[in-house]
Order: sequence, then structure tokens, then C-alpha cells
Amino acid sequence: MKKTPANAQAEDYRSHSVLVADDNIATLEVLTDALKDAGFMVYAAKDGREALELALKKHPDIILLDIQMPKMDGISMLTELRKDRWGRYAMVILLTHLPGSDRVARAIQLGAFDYLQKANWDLDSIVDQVKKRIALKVEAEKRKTKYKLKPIPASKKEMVQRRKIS
Amino acid sequence: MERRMFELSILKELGDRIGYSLNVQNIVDIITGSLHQFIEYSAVSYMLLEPEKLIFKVHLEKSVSRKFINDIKDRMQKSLSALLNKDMQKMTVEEVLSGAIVVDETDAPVQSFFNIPLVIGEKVVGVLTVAHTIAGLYKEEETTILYKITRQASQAVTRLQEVITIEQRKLNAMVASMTEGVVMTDRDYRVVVVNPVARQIIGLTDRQEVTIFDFIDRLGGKFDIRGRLEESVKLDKTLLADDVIIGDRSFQIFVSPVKGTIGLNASAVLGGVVIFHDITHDKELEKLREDFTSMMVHELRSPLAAIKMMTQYLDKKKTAKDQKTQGQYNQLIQKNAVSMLNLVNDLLDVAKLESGRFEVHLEPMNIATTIKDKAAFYEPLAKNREIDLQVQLAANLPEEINGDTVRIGQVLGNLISNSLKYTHGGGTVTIQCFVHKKGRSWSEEAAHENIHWFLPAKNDPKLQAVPDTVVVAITDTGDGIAAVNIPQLFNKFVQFRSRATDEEGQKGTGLGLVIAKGIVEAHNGTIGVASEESHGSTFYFTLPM
Repeated sequence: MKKTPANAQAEDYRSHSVLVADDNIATLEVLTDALKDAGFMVYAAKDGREALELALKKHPDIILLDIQMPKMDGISMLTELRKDRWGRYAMVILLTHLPGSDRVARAIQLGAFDYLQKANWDLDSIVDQVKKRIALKVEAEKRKTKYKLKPIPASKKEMVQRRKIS
Repeated sequence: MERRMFELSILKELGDRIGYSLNVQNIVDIITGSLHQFIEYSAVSYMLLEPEKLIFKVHLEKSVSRKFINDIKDRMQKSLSALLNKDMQKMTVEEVLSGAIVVDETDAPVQSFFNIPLVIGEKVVGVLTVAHTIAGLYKEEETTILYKITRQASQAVTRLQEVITIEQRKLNAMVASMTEGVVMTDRDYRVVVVNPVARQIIGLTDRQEVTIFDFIDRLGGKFDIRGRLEESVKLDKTLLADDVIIGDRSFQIFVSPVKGTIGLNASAVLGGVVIFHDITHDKELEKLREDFTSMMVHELRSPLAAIKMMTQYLDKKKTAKDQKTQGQYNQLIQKNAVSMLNLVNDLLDVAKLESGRFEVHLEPMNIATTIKDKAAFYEPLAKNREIDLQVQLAANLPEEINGDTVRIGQVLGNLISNSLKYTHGGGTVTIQCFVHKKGRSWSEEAAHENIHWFLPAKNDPKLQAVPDTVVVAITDTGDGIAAVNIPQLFNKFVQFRSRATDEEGQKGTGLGLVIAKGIVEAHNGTIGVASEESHGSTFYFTLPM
């Protein structure tokens, strides 16, 4: 079988990081352990404010975000995150018990990538989901480097500006 | 005799035809339409008094001149003026002609003329006239029957009007007392009935007259009242607008056609009615229930999901070096299981309370020991949060009271853990207990026992009436509770978000106080709270001795 780029990358996740935010300590603990076992670098936050601080400081590849949390709930955290230059494009997956709720809809509006319903959760499938997202991201980044835009030379900047004016 | 029979049959027929009509014009039309059967005339006419004008209707049996008609009109106006003692000459006259055509060449003047006042409910509403170009008509016989007919008609109408007035008064009283806003209009959208609630909805409680335009103005673009009325009347259908927000309240609005049910107007559409049904409270309740459900889902599913994932994780780790993880996970699993168990127990208690099947097992118990035990249980938590947990017991506490030790322990636990939750580090939570004798002041009783009493003295008067009891009070130096929230505090579904729940992630279901109230009341005691925002709260309950 021919190896796709995603599969080729699948073995080593040490360079990739995940931020998990959940107010249930047990959930936080087990997710952290399972993702660590899978090779990820894991940051754990037990409320929204801590999650926001960690995200902005560590720039994780993926954020797993619980909605119902103390101090700052998932929606407020996401709103704040989107105001940041880096955070605007950060990949966020929601953890929720109520997939049909207004809050999930609001989060999707705010650009949450996907959501996972907690009660159906299977530890392995969560780790798989995270792996898949990372693979997608790696691929996207590769494409970006391929067609990387070069900065405009100073000599031509003036020209560009003049065109804009006219 | 024959004449008499004829008279009677005419009267009966008139009576039938007039029926339940209340419209004077209709009735006079019926009378004038029947008159030709026994009276001869060139013209029969009536003049009715309207608020702004006079209605003058003439039916010609044979052609007469314009002068003839003007003569009748003039005579009728004069007699109306005399009857009402008011100048009617200048009023606008709306004239309706029917029957034979006006021919000015026929120059015959009015030779016979007879006027009868139309009286309804002792008020002159107009005059009825017969006129002829032939002289010498309208003798006693004819005038008598005319009088009889008009009297009969006016009596019928008067009686009906009385009935209607009474009915209307009943209806108005009923409409006025309705909790729904009611507005009724006639076919031209003139407001016929508007009750106080409807006035309140559009904020016009003290204005005398309310018109449809007031409603259009106040409802703005939220509800097209006139359009809906038109549609409803046209389609002969009740229309419903489900959730219209007016001001800060939500309404269901029904629009229905109004149809006559009696007499000549039966089943004719008379206008429309708009009913405003306030659903604000229903919506608030629904919101509370939804919040409660979503809270329950979170509180039950969160620990379940955690347990599921942890057992999954442990399943894969069976080697000895994972012993540490296993021990740690076991603790977490237990913690989550216990929190779910507590929640399920609370839910069961509330279900029992609601169905009235909540039971307590009363047996001799020692309240001082129960308090000391609970305080000892919460001491580590208090210490951890740097809160000073104090117990102050009166010396005269009875050895035994009748109570359910476990349940009273549950109440104490609820109140103490609440107080700890809402108190900042460095604060104090004090548990106090003393005996109250009916009619005496709680403050004095506490002072007598050397208990520093936190409950404001203003609470004393209403508490004095409580029969001889043991009083338990738990006082904290926390954030306190806003006065508006206190009445809601012991309600199901309600949990007030506070700094404590928000900041420190301490969850609550809001069921604790509901259950505490149930337990205390099952002991025939009372439970209450006194609080001052940003200073602290005292929760107290009593147990009869």
C-alpha cells in the first residue's frame, strides 16, 4: 500500500502539542495521559482562563475545549482567542454534552473546527481524531511552504502603494 | 271589529318583524313599510336624531313636488325642536328619498299632516310623519293606531335596550376582570371594548378614549393589529401570533371575528376582537427548566464520561509499573462516582418532596452532638480554605429532642458547605444553637447564653411568635445574597451565580436548600435566611422541642 503523507507523519507526534481544557479533573487527567502516551506534548487547563493563557503562550497545534467551565466558559475563551493574531487561526475542537445546543452553534460561528460529544466518547477515537487533525495540519503547512510568498522588495513597495491610490 | 282584528294582526306582524333588532332606523323602516296597509298617504317619512346630524327618510306613494317634501322636512324639524326644546333648524340633514319620483309640476300642497314622536327609553329619538295632498284625513281612528304601533315598537326597543345594558354591564365587568388584554372593534375598527389589561399593555391606563391608532402606534412594527383584524374578519377565522414581545413582556395574540348571535344581525360579522395573552411567566419557567436540564446533563454526564474513559485507559495498562496510575485513577473514579451518587440521591429526595412522600424518622436525638460531629467533618475543608469554623452552643440545650439524626445532619451539611463555599479565605463561619421560648426575642435569648448573635434585630418580631424550639443558625462572612433573590432561594431550579461559583469552579445543583427546607418542614420546623450583601448571611432553622 502506498503511504500517504498523513500516514508517513503518523508515527512521530513529539513535535506537536495539544491543549486540553476541561473542568472535570478526572477527564483532564485521563485525556492528558492518553495523549501523552500517543506521543503528543500535552498542556492541561482546568478552566477557560487558564486555557486562554496557555494557548496564547504555548501556541498548541490543537485545542480540545470543554464548553461548560468555571471562571471563563468555552465560548468566552474562544471569543477572546479569536482576537489574537495567532489565535484567529488556531484549531479548536469542542468537547460537549449537548451537541444541539445554542452554545455549540455559537462556537461553530466563532470558527470551532469540529465538536465531539462527550458521552459517546471513546478514548481511542479521541486520540485518533487528534492525530487526523494534526496530519491535515501538517499537510496544509507543507503546501504553504511550497508556495510561500516572498516579501515584496522595498524598491517595489512604493509602486504597490501608488497603484492602490490610483 | 274587522278593523280591530286588522290592527292586531298588524301589531303582531310588526312585533315579529322587529324581533330583537336594536337598530332604531331598522325598526322605523319596518313600521313605515307596513303603514300603507291601513293608512293612506302621499308620503311617509321619519326624522332621526344622530349625534351630529338628522336623518330624514321619505317614501313617496305618489309623485309630489320638491316644495311638498321641503314643507314636510321643515315641519318635522320644527316639531323635533319643540319636543327636544332645542333648535334643530341648523343641523345638517341627510336626506334619503324612495318610492315615486319628484315632479315639480304637481303643485299640490300638504293638506293633511300627522306627526308622532318616536320615544325610546323615555327619550325622544325622532319623529314619524304621514302627509297627504288631500285634506281632512288622519282622524282619531288613524292616529290612534299610529300611536299604538309606535308605542309598541318603542316599548319593545326600550325593554331590549335595558336587557342589553345589563348584559353589557355584565360583559364589561367580565372583560375588565380578565387577566388577558381584550380589545373589541366594530367593522370600521372603532374600539368598542378595551379592558384595563389591554390599556396597560399599550401603556395608556389613564386616558379616557383609546382608539385603534393608539394600538397601531404602541405596537409599532411588532404586530399589525389592523391588518390582522381585517384578515380575520375577511377569512372568518381566528388568527394566532405566537410570541410577540411588547415592552419587556411576551404575548400570544389571538384575533377573532365577532358575529351577532341574535335577531336580524345573527351570523353577520359585527367586528373583531383581539386578545393578548401574557406568556412571559411561562417562558421564564421554561427557561428555568431548560437551564436545570442542561445543568443536570452536565453534572451527570461529566463524571460518567470521565469514569468511562479512565476504565478504558486502565484496561490497557496492566503492568506493574502502572500501579501508581491505577491508584490515582481509582481515587478519581471513586470521587466521580460519589458525586454522581450524591446528585442522584438529591434528585430522589426532591422527587419525594414533590410527590409528598418525603418521610423523616423521628426519634430522640442530641442536637449538640449532631452539630459538633458535622463541624468536625467540615473542619479540614474549612482549614484548607483558611476559613475559621466556629461552634457556639448554649448551655441550656435539651439532652434530647425528637428528630431524624441523619436528615438533620444532611441539613447541617448543606448549610455549612454552602457557607464555606460563599466565604472568602480569612473569613468566619459560625454555627450557633440555643433554645427559644415563644414570645421572647431571639437576640436576647442568644445574648443570655453568651452567644454572639449575627441575625439582625429587625428579624426578631416575626420570629418571636415561633413556639418553643431549638434554633440553629449558620452565619458566614461571605458575599451575602441580594434581597431580590432571597424569596427564590428555596425554589427548585434556581441557583444564583455568584463570584464563588464562577471563580472557584464550585458547582452546585441548587437542590440543597430545597431539600433542607423539606427536611426542616417535615420536622414541623421553619427555615429562613437573613442576609446583607457584601457582609454575609445567616441561615437558620428551628426544631420543635
